[in-house]
This record gives sequence, structure tokens and C-alpha cells, in this order.
Amino acid sequence: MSQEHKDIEHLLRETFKGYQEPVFESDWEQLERALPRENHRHRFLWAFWLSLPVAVGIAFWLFQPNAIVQYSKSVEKTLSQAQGKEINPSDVNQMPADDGISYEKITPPSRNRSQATASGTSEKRLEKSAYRRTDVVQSRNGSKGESQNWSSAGNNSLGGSTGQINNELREFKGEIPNLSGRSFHQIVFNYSRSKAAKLVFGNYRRALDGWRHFRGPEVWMIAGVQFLSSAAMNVADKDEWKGKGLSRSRLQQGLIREIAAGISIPFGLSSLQVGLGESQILKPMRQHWTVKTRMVIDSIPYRNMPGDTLFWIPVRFADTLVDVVTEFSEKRLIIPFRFNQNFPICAKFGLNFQVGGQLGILQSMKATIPSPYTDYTWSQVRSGMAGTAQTNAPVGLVDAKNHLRSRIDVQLGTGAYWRFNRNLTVKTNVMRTSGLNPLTRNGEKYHQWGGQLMFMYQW
Amino acid sequence: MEKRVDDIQSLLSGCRQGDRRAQHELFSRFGPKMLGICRRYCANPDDARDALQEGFIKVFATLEKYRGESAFETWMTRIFINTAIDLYKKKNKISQTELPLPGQYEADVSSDTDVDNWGFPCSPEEAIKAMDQLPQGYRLVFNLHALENYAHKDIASMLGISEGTSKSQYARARRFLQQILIPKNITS
Repeated sequence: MSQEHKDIEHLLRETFKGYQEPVFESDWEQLERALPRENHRHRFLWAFWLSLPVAVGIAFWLFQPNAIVQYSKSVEKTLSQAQGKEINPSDVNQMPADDGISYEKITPPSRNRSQATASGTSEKRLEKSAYRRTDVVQSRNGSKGESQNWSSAGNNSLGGSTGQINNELREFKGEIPNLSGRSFHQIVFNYSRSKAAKLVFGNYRRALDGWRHFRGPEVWMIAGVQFLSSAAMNVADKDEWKGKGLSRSRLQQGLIREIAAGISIPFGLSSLQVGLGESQILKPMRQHWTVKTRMVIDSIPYRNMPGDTLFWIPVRFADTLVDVVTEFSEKRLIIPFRFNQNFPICAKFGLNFQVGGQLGILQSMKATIPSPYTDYTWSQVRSGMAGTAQTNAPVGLVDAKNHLRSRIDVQLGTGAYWRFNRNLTVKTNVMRTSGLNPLTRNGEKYHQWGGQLMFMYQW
Repeated sequence: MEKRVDDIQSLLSGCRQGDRRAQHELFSRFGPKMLGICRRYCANPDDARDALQEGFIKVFATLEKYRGESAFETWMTRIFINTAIDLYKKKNKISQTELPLPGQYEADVSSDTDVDNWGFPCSPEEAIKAMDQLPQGYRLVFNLHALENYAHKDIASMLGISEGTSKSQYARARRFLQQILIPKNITS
């Protein structure tokens, strides 16, 4: 074979090296016509999910709950009793004609009683104190109290107290320093790439940021809708929300509505929670799942102290699931800003480091009742880990599985919250979690990131 | 260099989200080269532009599957080559009956006086003009083996022909191109 025969490939390669032919705008226009229309679906989804909490927040902003009426009743009644006066029950049920609402500082009696003066204003800031909102007693001095500056408890660094304080009320409050947590509505929008988008609205009574002196039971309720789109639902994170059993289900796709309620009993810096909930998974392809979340006994700490590092061991009992997180630490830095008294803004930068081990024993049960018309499946499942395969079983057959699980993960997060005014707080949180479950067959690894947008309306 | 990588990544990200401007940018950046590749495989410029359009539609549709395991241009080139082959398969059915009789090439070559004057170094356009005279099946085999370094076994699988057919078509195509493109003074 001659040299040129051997090299024809090489010569052509050299010839065509970097060879281009011009393309024209008409080529692109032709291609553009053939391409599917521009995909705006992701924008629509974002707009849709974001509009929901905004709409609910606006609704609560406009239509304040009637609970304030009952609240003011108890406060005024006690106030009158404290002053040795008989009150007319019809008087205490009256709300001020317009927005006659003030906020007064609640301080321990031993320290703050001396500050109760006859009248005037107080600029003094008190450590470890809290503020409680109530309605101004118009009958006391014949005029509505002036607008008061509000701040939550001292540790959240949102600023001290300025403006006028109704001193008589403050004195009275000083006698009952251990108030239970304030009520608030909380709307949470959760988004996680590998989990779900979740909108939760709840009416809670629980501690707020920095509220150390929380006492009394809390009642909570969750009503939410989740859209499940991933099989990574078995990875459950830890937060204060209850009724989270579904977030551990291994589901591919579906729509969930869930409702749960329970009571939380404070226990030192933690609380015990007992709840009952039900969730219905509306799966495509004619399958409906109903999952009951029962008897969640959960111990969670109040880890809302800025700058604090807490180590805690929560224990959860949910049916047969034992879920122990052995170690947890969290460090946060909160930097307060305030444009003016009415619109403070506070940014939170946090680093969460979490090393946890979870050991679980799972029993899942399910019963399938075939229908000649639709394929309904009722499932009573308490799942908690990977590998909870759920298959349709014959009628009456109960399938039980036990699992072990351990987990180690690292979470980094940052967030900020804005307290627009004394009622409305908006919180954001972004987190990135990487973890490993060494007890699964293949050593399950997971990476996920997510965000949280929280609207909190409190009174 | 680092900036370039970031740039292409953001471009691909935009394309994945269906951003028209990003798609246009990708087309402007890679279109000329991909059209050159299509032109090597297609019998005429119109077919090449059809392949270009089909190829970009495939690229945009399958961009989610691109994981960055190979260079993007390499991944893209494969799509365009496959598109050109698919286009050819639609129009013709590759079979051994396409093999011309021995001596046919010589007759064709000697009848084209322009081609007689070609030789290396020649322009890509001249080389393509020479390729245009090849039967389409031969042309595909030659491009895949000589210029893309595909093995005959793989070519046979891609084109749906036997490995022997691929080899024989390649040999004939190469002989033909040598006769056209290598000047006689060098050959002798």
C-alpha cells in the first residue's frame, strides 16, 4: 500500500479540521418554529406556590380572628378582679371601636413591680422580659391607649421598648409573669428539591423566638397540602412540625392533604407532644391512600435562643417507631436591623451542624379492599425509613416489616426573617443537607436542598 | 478557560429551562460546526440543513440527559451524526445492492475533468464535492471510519449492515477518493 493510500484518512482529517459552514438567521427562525413553545411551567409553579401563602397571609391580615375578643375578656376580667372591682360581664366582651390595641411589658413581679408608676412612659429596657398584647381598657381612663412599640422577648434582639406603656396594666401583668405562649397563625411553605412542596397552615400556641418563660400546654393543628414528586421522601428532617410521617413515605408522586392536631406539654426546655392526624394521599392511577399518623410522642427542645448552642436528645415514639437523634448542635447569629419602629428587619445567618443517629423499628400494616369499580387501597402505615416497599396485599393480609436505620447527616443553612410589624413575621430558610444511611443495603446516600418560607401572624 | 466552562454551563442551564435566548446562543455558537459535520454526511446542502434542524431539536430535547461525562461538543457531534444517519435511512435503505460494479468509479472519475485537477492540499468544499460523488452508503461508512474513528463493527451496527459490507464499502470509497484527490504526480 502506497504512502498516499495510508494517509488519505489523515489528509481528510486535516482538511475537515474545524470545518464550518455558515448558518443564517433564517436557519434559526426555521428551527425556532419547529421547537416546542417556551417552557414557562416552572415559573407558573413557583408563582402558584408562592401565591398561596401570600394570599392566606393577606386574608389573615384583613380578617383578624375573633379569638382576640375572648382574649381581651380574660385579661380585663382579671384586671378588674386584681383591683378589687366588680365588673359587668357585658363590658368585658366589648372590643374597642377601632384599633385600640396596645402592648404592655410583662415582667417578673419581684423585679418589676417597682416600675409600676401612676402614669407616664418608660424607656427602660428590661432583660429577660416579655411583652404581651392586649386590648386597651377604655374604661380605665376614658381614652384609648396610644400605640405602643412592640418587641418580642429580649433575646431576639429586635430592639427595646419605647413609647408609652400602660403602667397600670403592666403592674397587673407583673403579678402573673408565667403566661403561656402566645397564639399565632403560621403558614409555612416548604420546598425541597428532593422532597416536596408543602404548604402548611397552623394555629399554634407555643414559644416564640427567645421566649424562655413559656409555660402551659400548647395546642397545635396542621392542615396542609403536599405535592409529592420524588422517591426520596423517606428522608425525614427534624423540625418542630408534627404529622410528618408522610414525609418519610416512599412515594413517587401524588397529592397529599393532611390534617393533624395535638397537644404539647412543656417540660423544661423541651416539650412532650402527643398528636393525632390523618393524611390522605391522592395518588394518580386510581389509587387512594389514607395514612393515619397516630400518637406521635415527641420531645423537642426550644432551640430559639440566638447564639446558643444546644445539644439535645429528642426521642420520638410514633407507633412502633423509635427515632432517636443522638446529637444535635446549632449555632446561629442574628443581626438585627430596624428601619424604623414599625418595620424592623432582622437577618439570620446560621450554621447548623448535625450529626445524628437514628435507630428505628418499623411495622407497617396495610389492607387492600378491592373494588369492582375503582382500585381503592387503604393503608395504615407507619413508615420511617428507606426500603418500606408497599405492595398491594390480599384482603385481610397484614404485612409487617421491621427495619433498622441509622443516619448521619450534615446540614448547612442560612435564613432571614423580617418582622414587618408587631403581627406579621416572614421567615425564610435555605438549607443543604447531605447524609448517609449506612444500614441500608447499598449505603443510601442523599443530598438535598430546600427552602422554607414562613408567614407568621400572631396576636 | 475556566470562564469558558462557566459560560457554557450557564448556557446549557438556560437551554434546559427552555430559554429561547440561550437556545439561540447555543445555535449560533455550535451551528456552523455542526452544519459542517452534517454536510460531510449528507448528499446535498439541503439535506444537511434538515439534519442541522433535526439535530438541534434532539439536542434541546435531550439536554437533560447530558451529565457532563464527555465534552459537550463531543456529545453534540454524536447526536448530529446519528441524526444524519437517521435522515439517510429514511430516504434510502442501505443494502449491499448499492455496491457499484467494479470499474464504475474509474469511469466516473475519468469523465470528470475538474476532479482530475484536484489534489492535496484541497479545500473542504472540494473534498465534499468529491464525497458527493460517492454513493451515500459509502460516504457514511467512510466518514464514520476515517474521520470519526468508529470501528467497522460499530458502523455495521449503526447502519444495519454487515461488518464485511462496511469494510468493503470503506475500501472502495477510499480508493475512489484517493484517485480523485491525490494528484497523479504524487501517486506515481
